[in-house]
Parts: sequence; structure tokens; C-alpha cells
Amino acid sequence: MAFLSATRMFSRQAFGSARGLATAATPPAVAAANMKRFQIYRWNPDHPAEKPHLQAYDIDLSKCGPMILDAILKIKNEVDPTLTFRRSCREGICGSCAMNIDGVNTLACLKRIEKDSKKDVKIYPLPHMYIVKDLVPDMTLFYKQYKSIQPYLQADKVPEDGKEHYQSKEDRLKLDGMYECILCACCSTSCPSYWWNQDAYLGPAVLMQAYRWIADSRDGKTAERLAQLENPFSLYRCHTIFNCSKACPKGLNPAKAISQLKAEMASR
Amino acid sequence: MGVGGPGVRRVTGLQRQIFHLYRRALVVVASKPPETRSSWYQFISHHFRHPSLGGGLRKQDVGAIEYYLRRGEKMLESYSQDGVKGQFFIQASPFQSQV
Repeated sequence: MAFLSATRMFSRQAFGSARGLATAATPPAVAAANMKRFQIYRWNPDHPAEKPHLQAYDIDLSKCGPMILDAILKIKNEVDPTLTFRRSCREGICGSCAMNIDGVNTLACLKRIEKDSKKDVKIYPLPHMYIVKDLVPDMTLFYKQYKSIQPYLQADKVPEDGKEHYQSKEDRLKLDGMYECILCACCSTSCPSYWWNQDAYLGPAVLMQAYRWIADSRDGKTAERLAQLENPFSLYRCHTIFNCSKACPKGLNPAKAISQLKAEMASR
Repeated sequence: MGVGGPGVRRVTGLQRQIFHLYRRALVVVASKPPETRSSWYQFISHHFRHPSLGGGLRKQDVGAIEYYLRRGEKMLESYSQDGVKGQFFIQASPFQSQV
């Protein structure tokens, strides 16, 4: 008897109109499927005689992150694990995921997917570079060119207190816009002059870094650095095409640095 | 561009590049220790002649030939260093991987 009264005490009637009780759960809203086709350049070095081709993948954008890198990671995780590309930081600071997306060289982790457009997204590796596999370019020549400009401080004087090479704020400001370069190679691989003379012309990325060290007031080897560029190819293949500044995903201006470099060369 | 006479096969520029790479590889092997040289010759021959690598290419696969040439140059650069004395060359039987 006592048991029955207890159940009635806690029943719905005792509480009136279900006050205090949870309402029946409504099912969560399912986002409408928004399919987008990605055409991705594929080439396998294990079968080098097979020509490179575009492979199409359909991705539901409502179940994918906003950036192109999210989409290709989703493809690699769920659809095709053999898709090969470089990636690291996913925030646009490492420069690993540089590729040609819809004709423009950018970082895949910074390029948003156009959700409203029905057009296919075409993803190619950086143009006019030898390919290791799929979207991975061979960057060894680019790194060799960077090494050749000696991208480190060569101060001739030991500082007076033996601790720091001092630099005024105005001198430090001259380096802004050049030190932020992440060496993604988007600018160099967008330059037609670099496409045609890759072995001899240094390219906008490396030339901007060469000027970064020339403009550094702490560096003592300015004359040697300028003398290294005194030949028809290293610097003077630049014909102010300006694709480099347009392509830079970090908003830097390699073309301006090259023009300042040419001015320095003219006045040495 | 010499004319050797009738019956002399004309070598294309690409073929000449392949021959030059092979010759440079042989020159490098001559500087390796004598007891390792036979395995070095096997190694080079494998990369140029085996049907899974160089031997499986046709004359038209220019892209693939150039790819193997570039790969060969890089390998030659690393193997020509003095520290590399010998290598173990194992010819495993290939198995078909399901892709």
C-alpha cells in the first residue's frame, strides 16, 4: 500500500502539467547535404609511365571544415588514403600545404571552400615544379637557392658589451614585411620567369630574403651579398611581372623588395 | 652528330643521357672497395634493366624516362660520397598489392 502511494506521489499527476520533468526530446536538425566536387591532380611514381590525371571526389561540405585542407584531409581519411600532400600547422604559418587551387597558388589551410558555388574545385601542385607524388613538389632546388644567399647574420664586429647587436627601431622597421616569409614558394612558382629559368634565376622568395639580409643594419657583408647577384640571371631575370606579390598568401611584397634590391645594385 | 655509315644506329639525346648516367655510375663504382664492386654492378644493372624499373619503359614514355634519370642523378650524388662503401642488394619477389 505504501509503495503504491509513493508511486502516485512521484507520478505525473502529482506534479500537475509535467512541470519539472524534461520535455520529449526533438531530433537535432540535420544539415542539408551540400555536395562539392574536387578534381585533384594524381600521379604515382611507382607507375611513372602512367600519365598524370585528375581524379574527382565528391565531398559533403556540411560535414567538412571550412578550408580546402579540411576537405583533402577528409578525402584522405574517408575516401582515398593514397592521396598524398604535405601539411603541418593547419594555420598558415609553416608553408607546407602550398598548392595551386583553382589556378591560384595559396596555402590549402588558409583557402576557404566556396560553399555557394556549384563549380568543381581544381587542385594542382605548385606549377612548373618536378613532382614527387600527387600534390607534393620537389623543393630541393628551391632550398638550394635559399642556402646560396647565406641567409644568416654575418656581423663583422663583435658587440661592445659582448651580448647583443643593437639596432634602432627605424632599422628594425625596414625588415618588416620581409622577415615574415614562410618560404612556401607560392610566389616563386607563380613567376613565369622562374618557370623558364628555374636553375639560374633565384626567384622572388629567395631574392626577398637576400634583400632582407642586405637591409639588415647589423649585417656587415652587404658588399659581398650584392656582388653575388652581379650576373645576368640571379636577379635580372625579373621583368616586374608582379605575379609574386599577387600570389603571396601572407600578403608580403616580394616585387617591392626586388625593386629595392635593383636600386641597391645600381648605386653600388 | 657524326655519320657512322650504313647500319649505324642513331642515338637520341635522351638515350645519350641514359648512357652518360650509366657511365658515371660505373666510374663511381670503380672507387668503391673491390669486394663490394660486384654487388654495386648488380645494383646499377637492376635499376636500368629490371622490368619493374628502367627495363619496363617504352621509348614513348619520355616523362617516365626523365623521372628515372632525375632519380638516378640524385641517387648517384648520394652514393658517390666516400662514406658509402657497400650496399646489400636483395632481389625480393614482387607481390601484387591491392589498390
